[in-house]
Amino acid sequence: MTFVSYEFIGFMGAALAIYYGCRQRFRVAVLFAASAVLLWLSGGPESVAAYGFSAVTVWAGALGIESSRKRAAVIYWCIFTLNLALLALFQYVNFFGYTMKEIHWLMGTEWEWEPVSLIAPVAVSFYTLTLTGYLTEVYWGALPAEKSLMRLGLFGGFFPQMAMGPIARYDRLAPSLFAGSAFDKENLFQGFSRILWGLFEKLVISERLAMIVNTVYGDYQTYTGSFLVFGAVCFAFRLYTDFAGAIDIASGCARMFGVKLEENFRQPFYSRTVAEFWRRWHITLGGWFKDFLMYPMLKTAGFQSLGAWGKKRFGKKQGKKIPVIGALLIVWFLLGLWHGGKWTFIIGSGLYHGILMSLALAAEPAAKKFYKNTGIRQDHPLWILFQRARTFVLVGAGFVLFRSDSLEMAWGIFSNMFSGDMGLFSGEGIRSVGLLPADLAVLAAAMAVLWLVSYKKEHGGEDAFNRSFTQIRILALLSAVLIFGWYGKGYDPSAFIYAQF
Amino acid sequence: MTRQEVFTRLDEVFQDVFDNEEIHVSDETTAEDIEDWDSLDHISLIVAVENAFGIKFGMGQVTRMKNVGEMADIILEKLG
Repeated sequence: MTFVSYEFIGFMGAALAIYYGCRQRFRVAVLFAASAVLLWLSGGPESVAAYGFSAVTVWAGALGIESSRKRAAVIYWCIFTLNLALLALFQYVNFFGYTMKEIHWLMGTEWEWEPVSLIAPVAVSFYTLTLTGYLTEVYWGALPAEKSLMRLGLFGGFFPQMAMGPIARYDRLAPSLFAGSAFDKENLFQGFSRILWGLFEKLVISERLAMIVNTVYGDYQTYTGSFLVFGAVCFAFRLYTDFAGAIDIASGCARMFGVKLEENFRQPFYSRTVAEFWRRWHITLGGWFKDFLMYPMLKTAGFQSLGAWGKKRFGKKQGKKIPVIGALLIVWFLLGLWHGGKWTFIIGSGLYHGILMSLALAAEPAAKKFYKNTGIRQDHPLWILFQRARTFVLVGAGFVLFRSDSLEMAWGIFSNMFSGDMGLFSGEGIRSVGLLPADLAVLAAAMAVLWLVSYKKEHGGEDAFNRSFTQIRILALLSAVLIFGWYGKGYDPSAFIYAQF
Repeated sequence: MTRQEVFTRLDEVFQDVFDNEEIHVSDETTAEDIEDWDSLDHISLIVAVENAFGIKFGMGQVTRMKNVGEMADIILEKLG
């Protein structure tokens, strides 16, 4: 059951009625039960069992760590490794096969192989990070262990955030999650508005963009040049509206229960550098890798002595970047791998970005010289615009890999992009990308609304955006979703992209 | 060591790590206030502070410190 279904609307209605209908002290139990039921409905008993196993081991592990500091390291590493091994089993069962396939393609030979089909438990990539992050913080002594199994289970499996994040941190989520908030009209109104906005992003924008992307990428030998560039731009916005839409729906649902989820996006396309982009896109995933992998790794004796060596070899300023670059490459390899055991993910949403950031870091002195010599003002609006466009192009190129089934397909798309075909700019060309002219007009108008909203958030903050929901605007948004989000009987909106991870 | 002395020493460490003699930190100073203090430089700073005071921060403290005031509190607690 996805967020975009009549069943989910019914489920939310029932859960809200029971939540606010019962006494305050039962409300946490209601959320727990609702989450368990939804997990069962979407993933069956296997998913419930897999999640239950992770939640119970982490719950017991944290209590064990707290009660015996002497054995804390052993308990921590056992439970941590066990949970990551489970994730690896489901996510990377075909990693070797995909790797061999890519190697054979690079060498120009054939590799015949059937991927093992193993259905992963729902949300395993997300809850594994949420739960192991909590376990790590207890191990560090930064958090008290949660005594109640139900509360811990709800923390990792709270239904709005379980399937696609944001990846929760215990100290930030617990206060509102376990409050059993009293009925508050404002929460309902704000939550409902945010859900509507998420549905608008998903149904009105993302689904239309998907049709273009699927048409163009589905036949990238025919649609070349301008078509593929257009497809790449469309996919960047498709991915954004799909994922940010899912997060907006999740945050809105949580808000209706009085629960505040963390923000996962902050107008990423306003970023001037790739590093800034990743501080604005999937924020909670980056935060997890920074706190639980990058910082601990950089603090180890090995990385410290690498820094000392670097300073001797390259001077203080550049030398201290050596361990940081090493850590960036490891972290981004793993970030890519988190998306799945395919090299299109490992490079496209991982290593490629790590390399771009490392280059930017190493080139800092050169960049300073460049600004000094050319006299370019870094805060000049035109320069800012250029930097944003450059960042979009760099990130968009990574998304091409992310969207491709294999390195071969990505290579085909990249090389066909330069075919010189300008056919998109003809009446016939634009009609051939998979959308009727009326739908293209709706898409253009919806993109303008998306830009307006992003502009408002960027310059006025999230709160200003939330306050801007008046009843009349809600009605307009609701009508837009109902009219333009409806693709006829029998049409099933494609699943959210991030639900596959 | 008094709180004032901790801040004087911290000024020196910050100036050295970020190569900027004009940096002066206070309770409310955060990474937002210092141009080069981002996640990539955070651990360099942490290790330099540890070495300057002869202490070790816990990883939980490293990831959760909100401003220099909290850093000074932890340093005083560890030295105390």
